[in-house]
Amino acid sequence: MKQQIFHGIGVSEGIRKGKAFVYRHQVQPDVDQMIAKEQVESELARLNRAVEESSQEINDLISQASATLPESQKAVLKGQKTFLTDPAYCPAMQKLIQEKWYSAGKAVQTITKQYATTLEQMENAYLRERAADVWDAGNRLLNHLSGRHFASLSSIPKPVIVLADDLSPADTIQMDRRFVLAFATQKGGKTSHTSIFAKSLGIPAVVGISDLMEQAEPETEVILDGEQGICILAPNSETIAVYDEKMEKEQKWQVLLNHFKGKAAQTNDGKKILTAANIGSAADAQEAQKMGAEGIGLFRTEQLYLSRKTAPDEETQFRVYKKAAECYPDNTVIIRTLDIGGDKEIPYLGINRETNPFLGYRAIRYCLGERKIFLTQLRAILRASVYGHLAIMFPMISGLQELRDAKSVLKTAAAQLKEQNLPFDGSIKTGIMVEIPSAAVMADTLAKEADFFSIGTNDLVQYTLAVDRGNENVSYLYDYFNPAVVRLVRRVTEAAKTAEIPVGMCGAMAGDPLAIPLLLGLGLTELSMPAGAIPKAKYIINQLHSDSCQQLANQIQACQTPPQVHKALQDFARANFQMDAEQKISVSNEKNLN
Amino acid sequence: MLKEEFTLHSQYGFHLRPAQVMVEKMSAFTSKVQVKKADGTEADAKSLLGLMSLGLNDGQTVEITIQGDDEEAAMKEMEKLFQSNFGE
Repeated sequence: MKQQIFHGIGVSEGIRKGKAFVYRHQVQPDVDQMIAKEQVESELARLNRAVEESSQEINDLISQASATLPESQKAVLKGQKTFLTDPAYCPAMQKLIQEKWYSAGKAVQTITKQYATTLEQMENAYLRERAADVWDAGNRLLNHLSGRHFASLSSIPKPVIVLADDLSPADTIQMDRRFVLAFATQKGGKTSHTSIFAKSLGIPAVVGISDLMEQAEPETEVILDGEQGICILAPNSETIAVYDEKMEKEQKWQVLLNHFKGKAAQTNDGKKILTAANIGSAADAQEAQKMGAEGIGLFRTEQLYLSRKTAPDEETQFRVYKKAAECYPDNTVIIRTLDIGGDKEIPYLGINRETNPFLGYRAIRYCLGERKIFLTQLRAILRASVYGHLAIMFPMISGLQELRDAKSVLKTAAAQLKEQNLPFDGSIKTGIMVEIPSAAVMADTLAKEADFFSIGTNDLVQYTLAVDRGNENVSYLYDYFNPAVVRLVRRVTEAAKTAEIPVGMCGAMAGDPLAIPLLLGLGLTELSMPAGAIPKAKYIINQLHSDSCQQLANQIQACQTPPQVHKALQDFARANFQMDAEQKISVSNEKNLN
Repeated sequence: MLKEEFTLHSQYGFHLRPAQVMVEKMSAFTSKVQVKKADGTEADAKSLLGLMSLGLNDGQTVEITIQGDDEEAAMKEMEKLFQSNFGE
């Protein structure tokens, strides 16, 4: 086979080399066929056998993986089983075989497509998503009809690169992750299931490669570059040499970064920056610790409230917060109170669907309106506070009154616990997210009554520039390097400095290597980011000098447009520090390794 | 045969969970239960796929037809379901 280079969308970084494992998923043996009248009985029997085998297979999957399978994925499988016994599903296929002489495959295909298409067109997003489950159920039946087995992904014998048409949730559940080096799929985009799955596990992946499956042969040598979005089949010796060198560099880079996991983030001149992690669950807290997180800068508590029928009670929340607190005996864990609004469907919270949920009844506004839910959360946090160093952060504060109101509810919670003789940390710190422009403008006032600030750049950018990042027509405007955003950040850090309170950042900007020197120059004292970004951030901080960062911040203060800011940051990065594997390590940085 | 009209009160529409509740409750009866929308589309109340495909929204009226030996008990249960907004 001659070398073939395929281009797709790189969705998860990393370069891997290995043998191909070709997973043909949608084998549709007889989807276009008709049968003769005499074949009706045998065709019905084939269909019934496929239905039985499929249900049995789902049962096996559920019981095999019951310990390791997350609830959400179990629900996917259970949903598929419901479809198999649905009176409108298989009986409709039987009818097509009996009355129209369809082959079993054609009947499955027709009915599955009919329901899936109907669901795909629904207004309700939740119903729309169920369409994928119907396709999964249909594909499973087709696989059994063709005598092939869906389970092949669970029997990968050695490390491989998986090449597939597409990977469904049901497929990824079965995959033995130890043996999957990377994967490439013909379908999919940046937000498809495969991409999210790959990213969350850190498996390099390229999706959306047209024609991939026509050329894919098992056991072919494959090189996959997740950053560039390239998949090479049967690479020639020159290509292999190029990539071997790249992989070696990447490996060295990883070793270098690993070295910084356990180190402090300290500038050349000895200024320490706290590098903390953003998390969404107590399990994340443990994972973040392994990446070298110095505490938690943002514990998003929304996950606790999602996919439930009733609000989580005090005891449930208490256990989660306690576990997170215990992970960090020496550092602070900042818990953000419920930040939720009409963009999420949580029936029991009683938030109506709104035309503009991001400007509506959400976050602290909702919590102050629904005191009972707020009080329960605050009581749980206070009770957990004796097991470590917890701090409370209120989201979406737009002005002083909201901060005062929130603190008064906290006081009520504390008084209740005192009366019940339950222990809590009476000097617990309470801070705010600065993510609404009005709060940034009034930061000097807020700093007098908040114990700390944390700048949430994702919302600050959206509200300052009035741009919805999800809207493709305007998303080009979304940029945290817009000088207006940078000036607001400066305003907040200066107010914090005057009031002598800590100021951190927990948005995407905080983990961006290009932004780090600017943030240091602006005077941020804590950066909180996805745990995976911590080692690189620590390494970068260790290459910087606080004087030059300050000069950079002053230089950027004079910038008039976003491109000017970008250019200044890129020039600074090239001249002052290494931020990826390709860049040469300068002599001055090597001393950091010792 | 019993026939009755109901109006759906569920701010998120007739999504997966209410549909599951209806299937679960109605499957306990032997009677045939049909749900008909104002535009004439119909679904078997024991079929999750059928119910979801109706795409019912808040405030819409449906006609329920039940036929069989236990039709009265089934209709009573159906009344309860709509009154309680499917337990939401």
